[in-house]
Amino acid sequence: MFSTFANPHRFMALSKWLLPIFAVLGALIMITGWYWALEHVPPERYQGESARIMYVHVPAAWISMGGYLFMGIASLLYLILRHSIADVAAKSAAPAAALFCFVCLVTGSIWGRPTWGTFWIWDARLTSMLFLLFLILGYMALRSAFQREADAAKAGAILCLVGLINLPIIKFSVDWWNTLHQPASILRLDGPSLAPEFFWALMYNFLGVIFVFGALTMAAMRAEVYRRQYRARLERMGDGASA
Amino acid sequence: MRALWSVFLRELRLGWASGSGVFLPAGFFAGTVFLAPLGVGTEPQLLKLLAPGLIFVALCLASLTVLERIFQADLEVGALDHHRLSGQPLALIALVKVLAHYLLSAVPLAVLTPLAAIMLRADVAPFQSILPVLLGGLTIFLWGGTGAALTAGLRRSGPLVALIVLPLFVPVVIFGAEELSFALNGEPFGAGLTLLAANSLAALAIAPIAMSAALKLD
Repeated sequence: MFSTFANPHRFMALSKWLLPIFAVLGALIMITGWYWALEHVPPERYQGESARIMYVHVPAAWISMGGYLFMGIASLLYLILRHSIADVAAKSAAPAAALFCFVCLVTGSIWGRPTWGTFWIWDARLTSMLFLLFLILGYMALRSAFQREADAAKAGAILCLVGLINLPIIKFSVDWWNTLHQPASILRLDGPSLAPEFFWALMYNFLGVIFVFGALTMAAMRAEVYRRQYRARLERMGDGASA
Repeated sequence: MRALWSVFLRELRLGWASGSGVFLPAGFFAGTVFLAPLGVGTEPQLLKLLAPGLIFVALCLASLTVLERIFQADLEVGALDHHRLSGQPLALIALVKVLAHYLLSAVPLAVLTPLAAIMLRADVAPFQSILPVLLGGLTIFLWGGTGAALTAGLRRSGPLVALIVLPLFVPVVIFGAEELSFALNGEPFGAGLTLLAANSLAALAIAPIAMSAALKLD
């Protein structure tokens, strides 16, 4: 199944259709989702209007973690199957994941100002997100340090997997270290503790962010495939001229 | 086995002969720790509170000064090719190299820890306060070695190694500093020491594989 999509030509043909669909759906759902969150969701009982930033903050946190997981899976597939499109996917998802991680940190600290009385608290979840951002930035820095694409791909894949294995340990240790944040309220055994009107607005916004992430990643992947084709053609021309 | 032993001895001799293996990280460690009172003041209560964290941050940074070069030097002189032709698994050779550098550079830092703690005005600096540093140092060297293996072929890799491995040091700093503060307060160790050891074991299992994959880059 993976091999079917590993063909760059097939990917380009598919993403040509999928990219505009993802982009338009993402923009539509995000804008209507924000409208829903700002105008129709009732204000939260204790935090009032400031809780509305949750509809940007929480989806951004989820998608940046999901994005790193996506990079890890793509890296694993690349190391096992050696399909270049898996490497293109991992490389292209990194800036989008970093972007959402940054959005999560910024919105978190804006929300923290009225709620906690300060822009930054060394709270467990914020700290985990901060180190996730460092992991992604480190991945991007490592890749960009290599001259040859094949070296960058392999080194990046190894680092991404090492980071993925360590991420739960980092998360656990940070939780251990400090838990000032409110306890988890969505993923619980007895169902979400969030009232349904908040929950569905949050999920709708999450859906929008998934499409936006998909569109950003796909656009970057297409650009990367073009860049590699261009470079390969340039090398062939160089070989022809020297012969 | 003998091949691995000779790699181990070679690393120890090289590190010892150049003098940089033992004294450079120790000097860096001491310098970092003793710069802190000049910045934050000499208030005994404050220094006592800061001591475990400072010691662990200094341990991370001092380790990076050594780790950066451990595979790069081998790559430059061709020793890495010899290692690869020796028939021994590259993962084991990488592990042995890291362990030799750990013995040479991290163990002296652990021994220095009680001294540093006393100068940071800790009430007591019992012998067992070296234990968190010994355990944490192992993890730091294993992941740091992985970062060094990934960047072995690059010039000016130091800051890059730091950027890519510092997030992996988070659990060590958290559990290590906590347990060190217990030791410096004369209390028994808590569950953090077990977690520190578990983290070292996980790194011991994964890092050699990652290092050998990284060293086969070209």
